[in-house]
Amino acid sequence: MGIDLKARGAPVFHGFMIAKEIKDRAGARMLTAHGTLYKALARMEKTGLLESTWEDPVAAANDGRPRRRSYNVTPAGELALAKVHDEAKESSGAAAGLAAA
Amino acid sequence: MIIHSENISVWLVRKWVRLYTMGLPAEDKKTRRDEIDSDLWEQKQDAAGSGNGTGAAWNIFGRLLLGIPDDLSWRMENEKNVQRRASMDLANHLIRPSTYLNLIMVLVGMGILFPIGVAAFVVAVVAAVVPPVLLGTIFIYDKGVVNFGPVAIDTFPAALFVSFIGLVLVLIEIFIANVIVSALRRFVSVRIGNLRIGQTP
Repeated sequence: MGIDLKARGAPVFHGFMIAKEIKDRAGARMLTAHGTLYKALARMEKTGLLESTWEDPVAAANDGRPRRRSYNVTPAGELALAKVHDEAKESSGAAAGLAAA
Repeated sequence: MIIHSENISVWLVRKWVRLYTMGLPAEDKKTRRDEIDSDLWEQKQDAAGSGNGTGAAWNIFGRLLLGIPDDLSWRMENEKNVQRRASMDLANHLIRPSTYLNLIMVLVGMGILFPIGVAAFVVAVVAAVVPPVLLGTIFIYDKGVVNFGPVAIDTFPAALFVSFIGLVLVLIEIFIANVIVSALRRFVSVRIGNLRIGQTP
Protein backbone atom coordinates (compact mmCIF):
# COMPACT_ATOMS: atom_id res chain seq x y z
CA MET A 1 0.00 0.00 0.00
CA GLY A 2 2.76 2.40 0.99
CA ILE A 3 4.75 1.47 -2.10
CA ASP A 4 1.71 2.16 -4.29
CA LEU A 5 1.24 5.53 -2.64
CA LYS A 6 4.92 6.21 -3.23
CA ALA A 7 4.58 5.25 -6.89
CA ARG A 8 1.70 7.69 -7.20
CA GLY A 9 3.87 10.59 -6.05
CA ALA A 10 3.52 10.49 -2.25
CA PRO A 11 7.09 9.97 -1.00
CA VAL A 12 5.83 9.56 2.56
CA PHE A 13 2.37 8.80 3.89
CA HIS A 14 0.52 9.08 7.17
CA GLY A 15 -1.93 6.76 8.89
CA PHE A 16 -5.11 8.32 7.55
CA MET A 17 -3.81 8.15 3.96
CA ILE A 18 -3.24 4.42 4.36
CA ALA A 19 -6.69 3.90 5.92
CA LYS A 20 -8.30 5.78 3.02
CA GLU A 21 -6.32 3.83 0.43
CA ILE A 22 -7.41 0.51 1.98
CA LYS A 23 -11.04 1.66 2.05
CA ASP A 24 -11.00 2.86 -1.58
CA ARG A 25 -9.36 -0.30 -2.82
CA ALA A 26 -11.61 -2.68 -0.95
CA GLY A 27 -14.68 -0.59 -1.72
CA ALA A 28 -15.44 -0.70 2.01
CA ARG A 29 -17.85 1.67 3.73
CA MET A 30 -15.68 2.20 6.77
CA LEU A 31 -12.04 3.11 7.27
CA THR A 32 -9.75 0.68 9.08
CA ALA A 33 -10.18 0.99 12.84
CA HIS A 34 -7.65 3.20 14.63
CA GLY A 35 -6.42 0.39 16.86
CA THR A 36 -5.94 -2.08 14.00
CA LEU A 37 -4.22 0.42 11.73
CA TYR A 38 -1.76 1.89 14.21
CA LYS A 39 -0.93 -1.42 15.81
CA ALA A 40 -0.07 -2.82 12.36
CA LEU A 41 2.03 0.24 11.48
CA ALA A 42 3.87 0.03 14.81
CA ARG A 43 4.66 -3.65 14.25
CA MET A 44 5.86 -3.01 10.69
CA GLU A 45 8.10 -0.25 11.95
CA LYS A 46 9.45 -2.47 14.71
CA THR A 47 10.33 -5.18 12.21
CA GLY A 48 12.08 -2.65 9.95
CA LEU A 49 9.59 -2.68 7.06
CA LEU A 50 8.65 0.95 7.65
CA GLU A 51 10.33 3.96 9.18
CA SER A 52 8.59 7.00 10.58
CA THR A 53 9.34 10.61 11.41
CA TRP A 54 7.30 13.18 13.26
CA GLU A 55 6.59 16.44 11.53
CA ASP A 56 7.96 19.67 12.99
CA PRO A 57 5.24 20.84 15.44
CA VAL A 58 5.80 24.50 14.49
CA ALA A 59 5.17 23.77 10.81
CA ALA A 60 2.01 21.85 11.70
CA ALA A 61 0.83 24.63 14.02
CA ASN A 62 1.36 27.15 11.21
CA ASP A 63 -0.99 25.04 9.09
CA GLY A 64 -3.46 24.92 12.00
CA ARG A 65 -3.47 21.14 12.45
CA PRO A 66 -1.90 18.49 14.69
CA ARG A 67 1.54 17.25 13.66
CA ARG A 68 1.63 14.22 11.40
CA ARG A 69 3.66 11.08 11.74
CA SER A 70 4.99 10.29 8.28
CA TYR A 71 5.84 6.75 7.27
CA ASN A 72 8.18 5.57 4.57
CA VAL A 73 8.73 2.07 3.21
CA THR A 74 12.29 0.89 3.88
CA PRO A 75 14.31 -1.13 1.33
CA ALA A 76 13.65 -4.17 3.56
CA GLY A 77 9.92 -3.43 3.28
CA GLU A 78 10.11 -3.23 -0.52
CA LEU A 79 12.02 -6.50 -0.58
CA ALA A 80 9.45 -8.20 1.66
CA LEU A 81 6.61 -7.00 -0.58
CA ALA A 82 8.39 -8.24 -3.71
CA LYS A 83 8.81 -11.63 -2.03
CA VAL A 84 5.12 -11.78 -1.16
CA HIS A 85 4.20 -10.88 -4.77
CA ASP A 86 6.52 -13.60 -6.10
CA GLU A 87 5.05 -16.19 -3.76
CA ALA A 88 1.52 -15.15 -4.75
CA LYS A 89 2.44 -15.46 -8.44
CA GLU A 90 3.97 -18.89 -7.86
CA SER A 91 0.96 -20.20 -5.97
CA SER A 92 -1.51 -18.81 -8.54
CA GLY A 93 0.61 -20.40 -11.31
CA ALA A 94 0.52 -23.72 -9.49
CA ALA A 95 -3.24 -23.43 -8.99
CA ALA A 96 -3.72 -22.68 -12.72
CA GLY A 97 -1.55 -25.70 -13.57
CA LEU A 98 -3.67 -27.94 -11.35
CA ALA A 99 -6.90 -26.60 -12.88
CA ALA A 100 -5.57 -27.23 -16.40
CA ALA A 101 -4.63 -30.80 -15.49
CA MET B 1 -25.60 25.77 20.70
CA ILE B 2 -25.06 23.26 17.91
CA ILE B 3 -23.13 20.13 18.82
CA HIS B 4 -22.01 18.30 15.71
CA SER B 5 -22.29 14.52 15.91
CA GLU B 6 -18.79 14.37 14.44
CA ASN B 7 -17.42 16.23 17.46
CA ILE B 8 -19.09 13.78 19.85
CA SER B 9 -17.40 10.86 18.07
CA VAL B 10 -14.05 12.66 18.16
CA TRP B 11 -14.54 13.39 21.87
CA LEU B 12 -15.31 9.73 22.56
CA VAL B 13 -12.24 8.54 20.65
CA ARG B 14 -10.02 10.98 22.56
CA LYS B 15 -11.45 9.85 25.90
CA TRP B 16 -10.92 6.21 24.96
CA VAL B 17 -7.31 6.86 23.91
CA ARG B 18 -6.67 8.66 27.20
CA LEU B 19 -8.14 5.69 29.08
CA TYR B 20 -6.15 2.89 27.44
CA THR B 21 -2.86 4.81 27.42
CA MET B 22 -3.19 5.68 31.11
CA GLY B 23 -0.18 4.58 33.17
CA LEU B 24 2.13 4.07 30.18
CA PRO B 25 5.41 6.01 29.92
CA ALA B 26 4.85 9.67 28.94
CA GLU B 27 6.51 9.30 25.55
CA ASP B 28 4.43 6.26 24.49
CA LYS B 29 1.30 7.99 25.67
CA LYS B 30 2.01 11.21 23.80
CA THR B 31 2.99 9.40 20.59
CA ARG B 32 -0.26 7.43 20.53
CA ARG B 33 -2.45 10.41 21.41
CA ASP B 34 -0.79 12.68 18.82
CA GLU B 35 -1.11 10.07 16.11
CA ILE B 36 -4.82 9.51 16.75
CA ASP B 37 -5.39 13.28 17.00
CA SER B 38 -3.78 13.76 13.61
CA ASP B 39 -5.88 10.95 12.11
CA LEU B 40 -9.10 12.43 13.52
CA TRP B 41 -8.22 15.85 12.14
CA GLU B 42 -7.50 14.38 8.68
CA GLN B 43 -10.78 12.47 8.71
CA LYS B 44 -12.75 15.55 9.72
CA GLN B 45 -11.12 17.56 6.93
CA ASP B 46 -11.87 14.78 4.47
CA ALA B 47 -15.52 14.68 5.59
CA ALA B 48 -15.77 18.47 5.38
CA GLY B 49 -14.56 18.22 1.78
CA SER B 50 -17.24 15.66 0.91
CA GLY B 51 -19.90 17.40 3.03
CA ASN B 52 -20.91 14.20 4.84
CA GLY B 53 -20.57 15.09 8.51
CA THR B 54 -23.05 12.52 9.88
CA GLY B 55 -21.48 9.72 7.85
CA ALA B 56 -18.06 10.73 9.18
CA ALA B 57 -19.39 10.74 12.76
CA TRP B 58 -20.62 7.15 12.41
CA ASN B 59 -17.43 6.17 10.64
CA ILE B 60 -15.28 7.58 13.45
CA PHE B 61 -17.45 5.88 16.08
CA GLY B 62 -17.28 2.58 14.16
CA ARG B 63 -13.50 2.83 13.92
CA LEU B 64 -13.39 3.33 17.68
CA LEU B 65 -15.56 0.28 18.42
CA LEU B 66 -13.88 -2.06 15.94
CA GLY B 67 -10.42 -1.05 17.10
CA ILE B 68 -10.97 -1.74 20.82
CA PRO B 69 -9.54 -5.31 20.81
CA ASP B 70 -6.41 -4.09 18.97
CA ASP B 71 -6.09 -1.08 21.25
CA LEU B 72 -6.12 -3.39 24.25
CA SER B 73 -3.61 -5.81 22.76
CA TRP B 74 -1.35 -2.84 21.82
CA ARG B 75 -1.56 -1.72 25.43
CA MET B 76 -0.58 -5.19 26.67
CA GLU B 77 2.37 -5.34 24.26
CA ASN B 78 3.50 -1.93 25.45
CA GLU B 79 3.23 -2.96 29.08
CA LYS B 80 5.51 -5.92 28.34
CA ASN B 81 8.06 -3.54 26.82
CA VAL B 82 7.84 -1.31 29.89
CA GLN B 83 8.48 -4.32 32.14
CA ARG B 84 11.44 -5.33 29.97
CA ARG B 85 12.90 -1.81 30.20
CA ALA B 86 12.39 -1.84 33.99
CA SER B 87 14.19 -5.16 34.22
CA MET B 88 17.15 -3.77 32.22
CA ASP B 89 17.22 -0.73 34.54
CA LEU B 90 17.27 -3.08 37.51
CA ALA B 91 20.18 -4.96 35.94
CA ASN B 92 22.08 -1.72 35.45
CA HIS B 93 21.50 -0.81 39.08
CA LEU B 94 22.62 -4.24 40.23
CA ILE B 95 25.87 -4.32 38.25
CA ARG B 96 27.80 -1.97 40.53
CA PRO B 97 26.80 -3.47 43.90
CA SER B 98 27.21 -6.99 42.55
CA THR B 99 30.72 -6.13 41.37
CA TYR B 100 31.63 -4.72 44.81
CA LEU B 101 30.08 -7.70 46.56
CA ASN B 102 32.01 -9.95 44.26
CA LEU B 103 35.23 -8.15 45.10
CA ILE B 104 34.57 -8.35 48.85
CA MET B 105 33.76 -12.06 48.60
CA VAL B 106 37.02 -12.74 46.79
CA LEU B 107 39.05 -10.65 49.22
CA VAL B 108 37.52 -12.39 52.23
CA GLY B 109 37.86 -15.81 50.57
CA MET B 110 41.48 -15.23 49.72
CA GLY B 111 42.17 -13.80 53.15
CA ILE B 112 40.87 -17.00 54.71
CA LEU B 113 42.31 -19.44 52.19
CA PHE B 114 45.72 -17.97 51.45
CA PRO B 115 47.46 -16.49 54.51
CA ILE B 116 50.77 -16.24 52.70
CA GLY B 117 52.29 -12.91 53.58
CA VAL B 118 51.14 -9.39 52.71
CA ALA B 119 53.06 -8.68 49.51
CA ALA B 120 52.24 -11.95 47.76
CA PHE B 121 48.65 -11.69 48.92
CA VAL B 122 48.23 -8.18 47.46
CA VAL B 123 49.84 -9.17 44.16
CA ALA B 124 47.64 -12.25 43.90
CA VAL B 125 44.47 -10.30 44.71
CA VAL B 126 45.22 -7.56 42.20
CA ALA B 127 46.19 -9.99 39.45
CA ALA B 128 43.22 -12.25 40.05
CA VAL B 129 40.46 -9.76 40.78
CA VAL B 130 41.05 -6.65 38.70
CA PRO B 131 41.09 -8.02 35.13
CA PRO B 132 37.95 -10.19 35.29
CA VAL B 133 35.93 -7.67 37.30
CA LEU B 134 36.96 -4.87 34.96
CA LEU B 135 36.31 -6.91 31.83
CA GLY B 136 33.00 -8.22 33.12
CA THR B 137 31.81 -4.76 34.06
CA ILE B 138 32.87 -3.20 30.76
CA PHE B 139 31.30 -6.10 28.86
CA ILE B 140 27.90 -5.66 30.50
CA TYR B 141 27.95 -1.85 30.44
CA ASP B 142 28.99 -1.69 26.80
CA LYS B 143 26.18 -3.73 25.35
CA GLY B 144 22.54 -2.82 25.78
CA VAL B 145 21.43 -6.28 24.70
CA VAL B 146 23.76 -9.24 24.84
CA ASN B 147 23.11 -12.40 22.88
CA PHE B 148 24.31 -15.74 24.16
CA GLY B 149 23.35 -18.12 21.38
CA PRO B 150 19.58 -18.22 21.41
CA VAL B 151 19.31 -16.27 24.70
CA ALA B 152 19.15 -12.49 24.55
CA ILE B 153 19.52 -10.77 27.88
CA ASP B 154 16.58 -8.52 27.29
CA THR B 155 14.38 -11.60 27.15
CA PHE B 156 16.14 -13.20 30.11
CA PRO B 157 15.55 -12.03 33.70
CA ALA B 158 18.32 -9.49 33.73
CA ALA B 159 18.92 -9.50 37.47
CA LEU B 160 19.39 -13.26 37.44
CA PHE B 161 21.87 -12.89 34.62
CA VAL B 162 23.90 -10.33 36.58
CA SER B 163 24.02 -12.67 39.58
CA PHE B 164 25.09 -15.51 37.30
CA ILE B 165 27.89 -13.39 35.82
CA GLY B 166 28.93 -12.47 39.37
CA LEU B 167 29.11 -16.15 40.31
CA VAL B 168 31.13 -17.01 37.20
CA LEU B 169 33.51 -14.14 37.96
CA VAL B 170 34.01 -15.39 41.52
CA LEU B 171 34.82 -18.89 40.25
CA ILE B 172 37.24 -17.53 37.62
CA GLU B 173 38.91 -15.29 40.19
CA ILE B 174 39.32 -18.10 42.73
CA PHE B 175 40.78 -20.33 40.02
CA ILE B 176 43.24 -17.66 38.84
CA ALA B 177 44.14 -16.78 42.43
CA ASN B 178 44.83 -20.46 43.12
CA VAL B 179 47.12 -20.68 40.10
CA ILE B 180 48.95 -17.48 41.04
CA VAL B 181 49.32 -18.41 44.70
CA SER B 182 50.54 -21.92 43.83
CA ALA B 183 53.08 -20.41 41.42
CA LEU B 184 54.18 -17.92 44.07
CA ARG B 185 54.51 -20.67 46.69
CA ARG B 186 56.54 -22.80 44.29
CA PHE B 187 58.73 -19.82 43.43
CA VAL B 188 59.23 -18.89 47.09
CA SER B 189 59.97 -22.49 48.18
CA VAL B 190 62.47 -22.89 45.31
CA ARG B 191 64.20 -19.65 46.35
CA ILE B 192 64.26 -20.77 49.99
CA GLY B 193 65.54 -24.18 48.94
CA ASN B 194 68.28 -22.56 46.84
CA LEU B 195 69.23 -20.29 49.74
CA ARG B 196 69.43 -23.30 52.09
CA ILE B 197 71.54 -25.20 49.57
CA GLY B 198 73.78 -22.12 49.15
CA GLN B 199 74.19 -21.81 52.94
CA THR B 200 75.14 -25.47 53.36
CA PRO B 201 78.90 -25.71 53.85
